[in-house]
Amino acid sequence: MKWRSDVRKKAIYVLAAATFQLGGGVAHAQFPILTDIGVTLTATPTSNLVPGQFVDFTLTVTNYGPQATSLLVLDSSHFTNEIAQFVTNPSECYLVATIADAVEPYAYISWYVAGLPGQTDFLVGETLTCHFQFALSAQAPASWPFTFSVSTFDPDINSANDVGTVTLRRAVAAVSATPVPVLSPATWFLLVVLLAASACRASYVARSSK
Amino acid sequence: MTYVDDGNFDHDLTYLATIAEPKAIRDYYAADVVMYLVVSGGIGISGLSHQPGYQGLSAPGGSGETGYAPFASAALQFNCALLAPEPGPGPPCVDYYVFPHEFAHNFGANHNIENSPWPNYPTTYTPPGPLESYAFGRYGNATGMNGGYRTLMSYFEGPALCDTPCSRVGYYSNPAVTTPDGFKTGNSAANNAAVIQMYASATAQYRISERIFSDGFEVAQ
Repeated sequence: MKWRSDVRKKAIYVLAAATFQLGGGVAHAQFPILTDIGVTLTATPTSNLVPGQFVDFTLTVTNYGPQATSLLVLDSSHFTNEIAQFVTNPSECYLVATIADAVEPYAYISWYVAGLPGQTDFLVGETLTCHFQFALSAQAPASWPFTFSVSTFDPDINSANDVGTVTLRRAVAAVSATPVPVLSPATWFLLVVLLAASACRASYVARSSK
Repeated sequence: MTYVDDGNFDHDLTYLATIAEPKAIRDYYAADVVMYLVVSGGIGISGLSHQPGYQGLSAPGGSGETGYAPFASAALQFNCALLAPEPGPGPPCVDYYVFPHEFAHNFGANHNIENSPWPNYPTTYTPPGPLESYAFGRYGNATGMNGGYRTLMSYFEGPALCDTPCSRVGYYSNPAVTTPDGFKTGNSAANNAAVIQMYASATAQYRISERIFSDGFEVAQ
């Protein structure tokens, strides 16, 4: 029986690393890039944040040389439920979300600076900037560092400037003093009478027991 | 392939998207989605997938290398791929049915809402969020059952919400599907089947088939 649906006809290509080894040179799981990549991450505002409030991020990457690179990916730190809403500008930077199916599932964001078909090499001296926004969720901790860094898949020659970090701090809820009840004169009088009666009873019981 | 994975799913996905060899193989076979099976991707993790359109990130659609097309891939531990975890050299499986689980992430399907990265959506904040507001998995108990069920995308949320063993059944959440013993797999807030169907056509255009199934069924020689 022929498959009639275009969707069903489409191929799903399964690569089985355990069985596909077609000879030739062996490439390793890291593809070092022979240049110095610098990453900075800034944000505003970063303190007194309330859930749902957007933070503006500026992620900047620079190739300090000595070579152009045809491969560069930056990964964010992992998150689970700290981010409520994420907004990007796809025309400025190519970001993609990744979902990890782990014991505790998590997600992260990647910026593909170079390496996708159609992308040009990242040249020496070149700086690219990516703006995005996100809002913290109600589950975010009081202080939460968020980073973007050069992927460990494509490490560069100088790891000292590979990580950009912003620490986001939530507003601390004002602590109110415990209110002292205000008693009316009548209530004070009743309270004194009750305490006096209680004292007299205790005294009588003590004398009677002698 | 000449690539030797290092037990890091993240590296595997970056490899598939950026390195010439896997991209050429993908183009040759016109694969719309690439599923990469490995011995291990790390301890305590059974699969990793890109996800289209999340919060406005790389939306589905496009062809060649635009939109989500270059990212349509997932990596998973091969012995956790199907119904029951098979003995293997890798770490213990976190879950089973991992192949259809990771595959569906590429169409915009999500976990149950409590285990999604943006759990507040859509109740607290306005879109953009997941591709569709109903694209979540489902779990629960059914009348007369010994134990609860969960769909292919759902995690186990504890015995209070889904009786042990809370078996993962071979269905995506779908209001039209109820298991023979009464577990309704979907509702208006959990319908991954619909989001898969909605974006299947766009996914099918990531590559134009010329070899596999070129005659409608058989692999062309």
